[in-house]
Amino acid sequence: MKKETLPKILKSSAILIGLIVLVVFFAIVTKGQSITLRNLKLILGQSIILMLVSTGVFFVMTLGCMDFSVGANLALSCYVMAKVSTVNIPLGIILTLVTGLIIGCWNGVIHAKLKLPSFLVTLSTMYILNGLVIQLTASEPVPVPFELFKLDEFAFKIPLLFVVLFIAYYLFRYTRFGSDCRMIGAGETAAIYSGIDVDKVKIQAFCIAGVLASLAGFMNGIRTGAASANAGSDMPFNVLIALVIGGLPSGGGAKSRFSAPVIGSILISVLSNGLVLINLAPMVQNLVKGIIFIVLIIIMAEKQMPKFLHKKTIGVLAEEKLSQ
Amino acid sequence: MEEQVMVHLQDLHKTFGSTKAVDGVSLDIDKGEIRGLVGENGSGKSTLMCMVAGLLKPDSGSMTVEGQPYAPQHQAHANDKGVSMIVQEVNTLAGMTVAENIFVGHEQKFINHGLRDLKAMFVEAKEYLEEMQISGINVKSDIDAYTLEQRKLIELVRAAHIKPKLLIIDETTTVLSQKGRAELYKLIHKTKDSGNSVVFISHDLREVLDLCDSVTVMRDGQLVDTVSARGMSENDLKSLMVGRDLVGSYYREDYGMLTSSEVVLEVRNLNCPGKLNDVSFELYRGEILGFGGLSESGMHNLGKALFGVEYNTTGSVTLEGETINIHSIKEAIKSGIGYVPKDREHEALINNADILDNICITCMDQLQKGVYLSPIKKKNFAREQARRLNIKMNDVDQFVYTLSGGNKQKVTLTKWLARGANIFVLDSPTRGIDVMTKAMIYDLLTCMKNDGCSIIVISEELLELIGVSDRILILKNGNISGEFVRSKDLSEEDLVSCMI
Repeated sequence: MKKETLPKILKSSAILIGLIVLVVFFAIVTKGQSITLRNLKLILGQSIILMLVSTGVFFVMTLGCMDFSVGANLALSCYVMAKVSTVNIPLGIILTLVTGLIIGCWNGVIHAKLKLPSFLVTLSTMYILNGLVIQLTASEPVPVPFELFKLDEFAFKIPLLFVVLFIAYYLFRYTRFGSDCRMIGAGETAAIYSGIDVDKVKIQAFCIAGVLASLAGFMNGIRTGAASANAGSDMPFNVLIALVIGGLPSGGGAKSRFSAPVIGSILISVLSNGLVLINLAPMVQNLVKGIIFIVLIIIMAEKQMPKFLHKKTIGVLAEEKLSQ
Repeated sequence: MEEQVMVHLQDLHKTFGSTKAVDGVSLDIDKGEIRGLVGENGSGKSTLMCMVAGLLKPDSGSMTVEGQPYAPQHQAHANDKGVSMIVQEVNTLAGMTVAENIFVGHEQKFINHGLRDLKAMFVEAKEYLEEMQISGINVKSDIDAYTLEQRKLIELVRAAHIKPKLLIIDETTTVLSQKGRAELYKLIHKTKDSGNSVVFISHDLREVLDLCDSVTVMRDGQLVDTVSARGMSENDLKSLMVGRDLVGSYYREDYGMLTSSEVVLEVRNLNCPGKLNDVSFELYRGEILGFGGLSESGMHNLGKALFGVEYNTTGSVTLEGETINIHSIKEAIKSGIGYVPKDREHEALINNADILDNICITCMDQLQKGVYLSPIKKKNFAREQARRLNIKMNDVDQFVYTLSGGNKQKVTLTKWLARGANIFVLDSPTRGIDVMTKAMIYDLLTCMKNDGCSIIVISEELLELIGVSDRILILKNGNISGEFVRSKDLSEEDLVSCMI
């Protein structure tokens, strides 16, 4: 049996330790302000949206792909919800999710069937949707019907989040789909040769990412009360960072763990919130964030080399072969 | 007196994790010597030579080249000191031209005022290719345009152009055709004649004995013995490698056994533009059908076509009376075909996943209960299956890339056995695999045959085909050019005459 050495355990839980250190640090610096119930609720509220989106993208990244369109998807879905809900609320919610599904399906089909790199496909989708939302919301901001505001309660949001996380976890861990995702990320050719319908799995994963992004759009709508063009504009990058910091190998694959979207999202929310609380100027905030991110990534670099470093350069190849 | 020793290794050690890959090896290689290096997979041959070639750093120990202390930092450094190596895997850099590949690490001599003189590079690369009489390669073309074999030959040029004092060749002949091998042998002899040394690693013991002056045998990271090649037989070497005497031959020894007359698989007019030409044949129940030919004869494509991988095939494949779609891997698998590809690293296995996932990947239908897939059930299933072929491992959660070639092949076979496939298409099933595992695979083939499985073996090793097949079909330029029935008198020459 394998023996886990102390450094190894430290390494594998580096991100959890990092999170605790951050929380303690902010608690001290803000003299306890950061750990008041009110503030913790705020952090949770902020991290729900990010967590929903990261959970969807988690499947896509496990495949070794990327979805940059989730932010624009969020904005468009939010607009659909605001518009349609004025007519009929249930219909509004359904159409919101359908919007996300269509966007995800579009990304998946183009990427899988035309064999184009997913980051290019979804980047284009992002621009298309962005342009669309700017057109639609240009004349006036679109308010969300008042009745929906009462849903902006933890009593609604937390159970919803848990249901989503549970379903996603179940999908990932206990179904063929989750296993197929990991296998495709680890070795697409061999996955094809083992009879996995790679195209289908990819399209499904992009659909999940799309639907969860639109659900996040819904959450965003009831939280802010209006649909605006710049909602979710920094979402793709926050998601990417949350997942990588949460411990997802950036090439995806068999080593993907479901804790990545959860812990990563919380960490990012804690950090953003803390930096605001200690009254850092917005410009400096980004600077500090960037430095913290790179430090965290370096700490975890050894266990998750990005795919491009896996390229079989001469030395790596020999090491790999000989470690057999 | 002039120094006779070219390279001296003193007490080299290298460990990977808990594995002692090389455990205190001291070795002298003389000038003008061709030294064979043999041993089972995982015996440390490649590790040892990679340390000499600067690809790996030894944990401890020292080396000298021509009496001078030698501690290479990387491959280019080793090249400067006169040591070059051709590794087992294809090792060309994709997306670069042939010439750039030849001079990788040695671009400095073409750099003029900070700019790279491509023209001079092309001219010189062309000279080298001509010198080695390798034709049909344009030095300006992208390396990816060439076949596996041609790329290997280009690597050969890369290793040779520095006129190495020590040339190390690791398991290269397996991907080369007869013609490519001839080129390689020529290079080896030329190196020897100029007073330099060669280390030749191969599993093909016949080849090693024919080519080398002396042979060093390794086992479990240690040196067993160095013997003169003269007067040694393959069996002597085998027993040195394994550490005990091997009884009998590892091929089947039955002849004249009747196979059933029940046709399981019927292939009619299989066409694949430029690769296969109207190929038709039948496979009977419990038959081992061998396919032989040159590597470009289309036999590898035939295996892929049967499994539904080649997308532009036409023709019909009938399985127990039912025609199947030849463009769908899924359907092939569903109808009970299992395919073991030649390219073990990319097509057969997911290296970056554990044994469990690699075995279970084909068996999801059996393991699923509704949509629910129990991790515990998966683990037990994988453990049970892994035991069938005795895969050497800590547990099924071990990653596949940590396994040796032979064990990897066992995992590939297991994943189809676990599914209960009854038609096997095995492409080069024993390529780069050690003697023990080879023998095990041959035994397994016989077992599977007796269980009523039908097996297609595609192989470039003619002795293997003669040894295991009930019937052999030879392909030449995409056509079937000969058919042989199992018999004691069948010789390699018979087959070769149909191949070329």
